[in-house]
This record gives sequence, C-alpha cells and structure tokens, in this order.
Amino acid sequence: MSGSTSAWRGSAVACVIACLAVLSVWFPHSANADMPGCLPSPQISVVMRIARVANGLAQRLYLRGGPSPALQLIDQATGESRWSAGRSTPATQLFPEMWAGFAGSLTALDMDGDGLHDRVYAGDLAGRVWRFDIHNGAPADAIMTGGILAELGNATKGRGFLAPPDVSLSSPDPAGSWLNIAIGTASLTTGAGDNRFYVLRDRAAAQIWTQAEYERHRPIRETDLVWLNEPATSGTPSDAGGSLSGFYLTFAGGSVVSASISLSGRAIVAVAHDLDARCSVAVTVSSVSLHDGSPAMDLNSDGRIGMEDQNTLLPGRLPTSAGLHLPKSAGTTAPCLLGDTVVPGCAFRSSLTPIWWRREDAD
Amino acid sequence: MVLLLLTAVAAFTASALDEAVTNRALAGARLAQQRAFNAASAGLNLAIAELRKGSHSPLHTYELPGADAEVRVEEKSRVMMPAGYSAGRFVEQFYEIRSSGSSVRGARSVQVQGLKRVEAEDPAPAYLDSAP
Repeated sequence: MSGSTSAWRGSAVACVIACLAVLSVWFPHSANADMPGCLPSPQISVVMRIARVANGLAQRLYLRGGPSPALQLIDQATGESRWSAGRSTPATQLFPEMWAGFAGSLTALDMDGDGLHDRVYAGDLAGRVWRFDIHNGAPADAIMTGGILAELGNATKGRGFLAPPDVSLSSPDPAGSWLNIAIGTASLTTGAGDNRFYVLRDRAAAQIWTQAEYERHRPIRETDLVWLNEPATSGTPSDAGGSLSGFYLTFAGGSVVSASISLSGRAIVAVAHDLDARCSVAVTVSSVSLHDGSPAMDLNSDGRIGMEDQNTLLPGRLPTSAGLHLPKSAGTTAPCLLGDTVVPGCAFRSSLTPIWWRREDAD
Repeated sequence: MVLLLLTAVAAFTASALDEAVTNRALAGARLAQQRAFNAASAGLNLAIAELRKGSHSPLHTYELPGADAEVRVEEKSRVMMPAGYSAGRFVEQFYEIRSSGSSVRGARSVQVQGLKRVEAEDPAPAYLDSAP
C-alpha cells in the first residue's frame, strides 16, 4: 500500500514538473507570473536557417511548437508566421495525424553541410517522434514533408516529449550508417507510467522522403525496441541483420525535461525527480552505449562500468532549469556539467589524429 | 722521365683534390638539407603541441639551432555531424600544418601534415537561443 502511494506521489511530482513545463511553453506569461524561476524551461523554439519560403529571401526563422498550430516558422525580424503545420486550417500545411501539440522537443539539422537546415526531428505531447524533410525554396504549403517516425505512447499513457531529441550519426561511413535519435519522455498527467529514454535508429537518414513515402512508413513502436533494463532479461541487444530499430530504458520515477548529450558513441541523460518548494529537483543520470545500449560511463565513480551505472543519483539538488552541457571554451578535455554541477564519470576528451603527411620540397 | 712521372702524379693529385673538395661541398649541402628537413619536422611537432594545448597562432616562426621553421596552421573543412557526438554541439575540425624549414646555403624543406579532431562547437546547442 505504501509502495503504491509512493509510486503515485512520484508520478504526481514528475507530472508537476512536466505540466509546468508545458504551461510555460503554451502560456509563457501566465506561467512565469505564477511561479517565477521555478520552471524547467523547456526550449520552445529552435533557430533555423532556411534559404527561402515561397521564393522569399534567405532568412533566419524560428521553429516553434505549440497547441495549435502545432508547429510554426516565425520570422525573426518581424515576428510574423511564415509557415505553420497542424491538423486543420488555418495551418499552412496540413498533417492529419498532428492532433497533439509540441512543447519544445525540436531539433533541426543540416544534413548536407550547406549551411541550411534540411531535417527536423520533433517529439509531440502524445509520445510520438516526428521526422520532417525541409525543401528549401518550395512554396509555403509544401516546404516540409513529414510524418510519424515512431509512435511510442498514446493519449491515455500520459507520457510525452518535452526534451529536444539528441541526434547523432552512428558511423562516418555513409553506407550502413544511421542516425541515433536519443529522447526521453516526461509525465504529462498524474499517474502516468514509468518514463522512458529511447535511442531510436533512423536507418533512412540520408534519404529525403516525399509525403507519399512518409505516409507509407510504418512508425517504430515500443514492441520493435529492446527494453534494456527489463527485469526478466539481461544482456545487450543484437543488431544481427542490421534490423534493430533501437532500445530504451525505463525509470521508476521522474521526467526527462532536458536534452541528453552524446559523446564518443555514448549518450547520457538526466532525469528530474522530487520538485520542492525551492524550485530544485533531485537528479539521476543514466548512460548507454549508442552502439548496443550497455552502460557506458562510470557515473557512480566506483572504478568500473556496470549495470548500476545505468541509473545513478547525483548528490545534492539542482535547479529545475539545469541541462547537460560542456563548459564554455571546453577545448579538448572538459567534464560534463549539469547546470553548474560536474557529472562524475562523464567527460569530453578529444585528441588530434594525424591523417596524412607529405613532403613538398623537390629533392 | 722523372718529369713525366711528376706530371702524372701532379695530375692524379689535382684530380683527387678536386674530388675531395666536391665531395665535401656535397656533404655540406646534404647536411644543410638534412638540417632544413629536421627543422621542418620540429616545426610540425611544435605546432601540433600548441594545437593540442588549444592555443595556436596561424603563422609562427620557431628559431632552432642552425635552422628555423616557419609554420602556418590552417583550419580546413568541418564535418558538422561527427559520428557518435550530438549533432549541432560538436564538429570534426580538419587542420593543415605547413612547416617550412630553412638552413644555411639556402637549404629548404617543406612538410605538410593533415590532422583532425572533434571539438565542442558551443557551450549549448542552437535551440537554447531565445525566441523573439
């Protein structure tokens, strides 16, 4: 009985954190006025570099999530909406499945290195991960093609995405490489189940899909993924045949409200628990190898990497706004920080690799 | 007869002397070239050490014993999505270091080294930019 009460309390607290985050996105002024400085501050927009919308000039736009329209491209200079997406009009571009809003779980990528964003991954409040291809220069009603890449929840489960997807390439070799999309869920309703941290594999990362191809795509479901910390099983998933769609971890409580970070093929994620009156949270961190989902960092500093590193409580409490990052001017060696707190066992180390040498003097 | 013999010996001696002088000149040039080569190598290593420390100047001259090295460090292409790292938060930076070693007698040696490493792009990803 006390266990179920405790679980309910945990989910309620996780929900409070996540619900405040959603409120702060959709009703920023009222939410901030009620609880100034006490919000996880999910990022509500991403800066996008788009060449042209409807033959306009090259410009910098903001991609913003919301309830309706679910997505908008806002002109930075004028504040005008240049494009929007939703389930129904007056959205510029219609996506019939876009019935749940977005709350800042947005990541824009420049896939071909031409300086313009051409891919967006976004998590909605119904636990679905969307993928969009941006067609720079196309008319406003066709600037994006997109659809649901992964369907990992439903309205009754109360889990949604607030944290931006953390995207990384699996291998420098274009043939056989894929994109890892690491993203965690947050509880949006009281009593929502255990939250998850997913690592999904987009094996068609290099392909630009038409809308018809998006509609033909069968979304990845949780049953397609390997549950890494399933009590009944152990070990790491096998990618025999290159068909693994990804894997996930479950958490007994807490919500993921900030982006994970990927370093040297390992992802680390922070999970917020127990919001208190002083706007601070307890935080657990987890690490997984992007290759096979095994624990990847010595987060508990016991000198070895084991299953206990999948979920480690950090000492002390942290502000709700704390996110994983590297210090400014990180250089080639730097610890990972969560807010101002050093995450043990997590560090960025980079070394110079010689790739060629030649002698130019004629001798 | 003796005079003829002396003339022949003198001719052989002159030829041997000339060869010795030529060999010495060649050895000196080779030594100077080797010094220039070593100076270029040392310049490369010094520039790589600076780059490892995270501080490097695009053009630097190192004074070395009997030689010097002029080193130019150039940032070349950047891969915006290095494998295994968060896209948008890290880049793979390629460098080219050109080291030109100089020694006496105008001896010169040029060595070029290509390198790469993953670098943190920003303390925070682009989505942390505030909206208008």
